[in-house]
Amino acid sequence: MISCDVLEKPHAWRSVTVIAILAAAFAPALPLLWEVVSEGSSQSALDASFWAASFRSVAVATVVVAAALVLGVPTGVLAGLYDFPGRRPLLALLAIPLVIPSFLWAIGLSQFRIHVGLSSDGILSGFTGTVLAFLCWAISLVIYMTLVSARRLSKSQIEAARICGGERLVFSCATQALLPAAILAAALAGILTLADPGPGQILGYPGVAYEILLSFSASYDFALAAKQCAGLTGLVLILSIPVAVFIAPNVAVGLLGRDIVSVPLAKDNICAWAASLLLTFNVILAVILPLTGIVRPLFTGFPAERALQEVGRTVLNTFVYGLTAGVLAAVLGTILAIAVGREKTLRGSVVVAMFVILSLPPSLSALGIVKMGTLAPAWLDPVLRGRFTVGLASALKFLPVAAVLAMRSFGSTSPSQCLVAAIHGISVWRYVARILGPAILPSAGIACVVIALLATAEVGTALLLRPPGADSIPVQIFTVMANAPEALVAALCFMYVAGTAVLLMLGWSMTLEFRRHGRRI
Amino acid sequence: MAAGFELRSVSRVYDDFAALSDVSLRIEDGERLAIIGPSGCGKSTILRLLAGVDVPTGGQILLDGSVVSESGRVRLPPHRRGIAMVFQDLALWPNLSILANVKLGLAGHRLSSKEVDYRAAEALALCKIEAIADRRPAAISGGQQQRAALARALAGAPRFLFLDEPFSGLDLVTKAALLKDISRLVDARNVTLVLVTHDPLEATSLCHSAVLVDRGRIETSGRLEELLDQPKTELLRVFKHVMKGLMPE
Repeated sequence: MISCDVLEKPHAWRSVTVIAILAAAFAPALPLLWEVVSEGSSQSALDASFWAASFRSVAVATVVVAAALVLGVPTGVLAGLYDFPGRRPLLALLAIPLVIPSFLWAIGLSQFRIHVGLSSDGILSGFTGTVLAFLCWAISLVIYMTLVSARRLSKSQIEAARICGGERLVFSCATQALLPAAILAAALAGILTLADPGPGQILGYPGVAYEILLSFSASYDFALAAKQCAGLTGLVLILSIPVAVFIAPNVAVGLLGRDIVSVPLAKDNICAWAASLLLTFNVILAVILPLTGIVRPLFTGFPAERALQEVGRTVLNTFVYGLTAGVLAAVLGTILAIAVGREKTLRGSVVVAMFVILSLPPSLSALGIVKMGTLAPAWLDPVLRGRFTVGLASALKFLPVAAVLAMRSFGSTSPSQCLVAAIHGISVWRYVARILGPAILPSAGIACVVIALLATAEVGTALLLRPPGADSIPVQIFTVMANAPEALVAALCFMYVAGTAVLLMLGWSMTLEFRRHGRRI
Repeated sequence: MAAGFELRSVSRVYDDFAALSDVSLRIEDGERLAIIGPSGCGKSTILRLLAGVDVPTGGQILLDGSVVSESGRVRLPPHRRGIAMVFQDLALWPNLSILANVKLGLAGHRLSSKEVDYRAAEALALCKIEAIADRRPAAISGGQQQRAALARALAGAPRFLFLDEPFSGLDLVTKAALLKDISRLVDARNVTLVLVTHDPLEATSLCHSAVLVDRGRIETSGRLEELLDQPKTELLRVFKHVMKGLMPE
């Protein structure tokens, strides 16, 4: 019998498991990097258009980070501390951009521009338009991260500040405490914009990720695409590694659950009004504006039959990609969290690795898998050239989301629960089945739903890896948007957003249900 | 051969912090021992080493004359030592009912399901919590949670019962009633008791002898009554004053 105290004691199996999972997560990137390194001198250098595109991407990312912090931090702090009518519906609306492909928001902004009659070089296109499209989900990410962190401030901390200096001091202290989390979210959003080709392409300010897509899909120049991808990866790593190392200790400690009495939402009139106004403004900017653009062409005609045909043709692929990614990532994330346990060094290292994995361009892994597929024998086709491949690549890309949720969930259990089970002679399998499994399962379920949505929204991987004719709904929209009738694109976008909103509500109600039964997610 | 636990020059070092240094101690069958000392002095570490959930970095731990743990190695796993332990946070499994907690605690005993049912019911009755058997830990009071943890510990009829400051956070009336009941149960079952505490009320209510630990070393040991009669350390002087209802000047 293996005693269950192996789950709480330091042992070599932890490092071995962590290294194996991290190696699997980084593996798809290696063939491409190896090719670039080994053939580096024989290939032509990256041309001026690549560097110009890189400069445009960095400029967009910088402004997105700054604007997301300016708009997101005060809103997140106030929404995390004060109650006001409509708080929950507004927050629910703000979650939509997080799981919708950014190019849909760009389509919405582009349509809105046409609707209000702005010129094609106006505020809703080019640099500012691209920044706005990325800002939609960057704001949501910063607000949600600040809000979640605010709910972890203790009641006594807030009351102490309130007694000393009223609401002004509460706001000032909370902002200082929550700023690291907000900066982390904004930095992540900025880094992720570098690898996203959609908004720049649609709004006329193409970045470095679009250059890669062009080299691979239009010019069929794999070597150049590989080189550009490696260049982008270098840029991303230069930005992400310092951020990851800086935030790792705080995140590693934060992931260990602590019992605190959360501060109840206050009803101070002025602050509640301010929170309400700021949140409404952000919802209008990040959700209503692009959504209006998306649905606008539908007022002139709703091609329901054609749209349903397209959705019917692609919904199964969408479901397979999303579900495969969700289940695989949730399983791997849970195993990783158990292996990491409560070991400080391991936890910190994994947090750094997770941040880096999340910020790596999806095209790096996707092109790496393409490379593997060309070298591998035919019997590996189901793994390297099938629909499963898209799900697998997305699972490895979004593994950090599942791992962080599972690490938080595992950290919330008491180590003595495991030790007392060891004293009573309970085997590790029985302990996992009866105690640890039920404790971690809710977060794994939530991770599965969230990753399924994120993986579906991430079109880059599916565009590069999907088998012929196996489009997902977002990929179908992305490929037809330039040539199909405006109303059809709008109808497809609307159906996708509506379906995502329903799944999001399902995830939300799952969370509330688990909380009602006293389980921490 | 001495029956009971024995620590021989045991030490435990975490990274560069020595939690215990060269501790030697004997706990004989039927004894009721309090391990007292200030916070962070190594009291709980002694208990964890005795239980086998932690490994000494030096010295040996013997049970009935046989080595059960030695430097860097646990020879006899916790569930074969005839022990039960109540942790400070009680460690009740939150997703199971109190009855299921007690039953799962018997999993390592290889009993028939009929015997498991009988023992669980008996333990719940002994601890006076039959009425809340179907409720989950989060749905009962702190005092009832202590009783549930105790029922789970006693259901397996352990030879040794280790209590690691399990009464912190209880009000005085509940604590007094609980201490009285535990004393009765320990007598009825003839269990050897080791209590880690820094509360004089708990120590004097449950234990006859004590060891005083400070900065990872045993400062003094003996009959609790005698230690309090002629206190040799500041902590024992405070204990004595508290027991008399006076605070030291």
